Amino acid sequence: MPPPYNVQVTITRGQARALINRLAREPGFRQQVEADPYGVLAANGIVVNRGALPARVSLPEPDAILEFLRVAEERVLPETASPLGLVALVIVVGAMPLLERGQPVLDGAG
Amino acid sequence: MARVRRARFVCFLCDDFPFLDVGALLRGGVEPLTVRQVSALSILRGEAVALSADEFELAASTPSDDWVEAADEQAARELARKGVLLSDEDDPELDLLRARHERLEQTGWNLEAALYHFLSRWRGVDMRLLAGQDEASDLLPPTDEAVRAFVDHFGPSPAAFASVAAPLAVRELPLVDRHGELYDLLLRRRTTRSFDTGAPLRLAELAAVLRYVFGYHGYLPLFGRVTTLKRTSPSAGGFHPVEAYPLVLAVEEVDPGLYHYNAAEHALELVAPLGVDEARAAATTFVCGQTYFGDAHVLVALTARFERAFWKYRNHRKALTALTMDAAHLSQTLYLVATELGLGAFVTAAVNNLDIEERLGLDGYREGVLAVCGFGRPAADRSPFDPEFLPFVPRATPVPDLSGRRPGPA
Repeated sequence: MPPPYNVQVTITRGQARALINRLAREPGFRQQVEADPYGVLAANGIVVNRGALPARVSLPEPDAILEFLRVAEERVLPETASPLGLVALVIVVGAMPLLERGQPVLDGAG
Repeated sequence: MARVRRARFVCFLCDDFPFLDVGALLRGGVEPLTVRQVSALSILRGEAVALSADEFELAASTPSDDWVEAADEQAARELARKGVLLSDEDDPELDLLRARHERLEQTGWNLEAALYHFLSRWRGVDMRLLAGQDEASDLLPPTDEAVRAFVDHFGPSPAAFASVAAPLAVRELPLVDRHGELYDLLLRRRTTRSFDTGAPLRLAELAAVLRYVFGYHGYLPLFGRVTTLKRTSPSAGGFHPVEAYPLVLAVEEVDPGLYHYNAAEHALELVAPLGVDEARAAATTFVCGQTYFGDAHVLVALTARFERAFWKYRNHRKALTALTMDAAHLSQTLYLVATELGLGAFVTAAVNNLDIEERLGLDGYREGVLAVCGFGRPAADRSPFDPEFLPFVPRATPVPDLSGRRPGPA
């Protein structure tokens, strides 16, 4: 049985959202994590027991992480700095209207 | 040895949110895990920063009203970098955070207002990128599919019209029809998102908008040491702490650039000369990639002189609300004056406050950006973002969404 990782997470909700997003969507970042999990995770507020780590790890498929995001989005997504969030939904802020069948249906500043 | 004290402008949050089990993740699996995290909402940094248990203990045990020697200098320094402690160490980053704290205290910022304001400022937000669009192109309207997905996900919007659940009585009012320039203007007022970039504004049009929206038409010295002012819009205490910084893109006889409107002299003070393309790019950045607003002939950054407002409303929980209202009043007046001149107008709170403040050389603490409005000659063709409202007359127009009865008390 492998030794426990003894994970210590010091990360905000927004940082968690950003990290999960990168793990799902950025191949280059995934490669960095797989090559140097201790260093990359530590730089993102996650400290694991270095001795318990194999030289190289394999992350789950991006689709599996995206599925987690989809399920968790109601709780993890609220984000003050992004009016559009992670999902491919266009959310209205300010004066940007939503359109339906070519006609505006919502408007922030008429 | 460094001396530290806890910042007064910080709040703490204990937050639970879903995350991935890191152990499972490193073994190739996805298992959800709830993280319970204490964070500091650092007003000095304008963001939430996660704290370890030891860091929170150090923050809680450090006084905010007295400088003490740091027992663990490295831990104290890290916490100071997070904007939780103040440190007297000679370090550029720590100096900057300490200076921000001094400005907040000297300016008379209320804690709750500062928390909201400084954690809701934007930098570098671009709606085109957030929508997955090309940042070099115009912002496109959301597709039907995206709108439907949005509504499917969040459900239909709350009813458009609201009414009391069980009114004790309902008294219908006469439908008064008023006529005249004011009422005509009010009914023609609308947001414009399509401007005629080929036809510049006349100098007189710019001057008229600035004079009748942001200019002063009266003053009152009080006790010889306080001056209150009168504009065409109201302001809390008659202080009028909202300033106008026009970003001129296309006005005859005025070079493109960033200006301050000096209302005492009714003059434009040049802050930064800009080429046309540079001004257009700045405009689009100011309004977070809303390219239809970036095409306006003039944008106006509305800033609040917090130090003037808070001189009277010191450490006041409602002062920021009053400032926001001041800016909103000015924007409505701008709509009306622009409409009277045959121009289009807009206002948006979706602005990159920090980018604008940097351009204007504002520190954000004594004076900072609240919103951006703008005006210009409307294009013949409307933007696909511009709604075409259907006329509505109370009790006469059948509309599908009249089920707005509020739930009664439980």
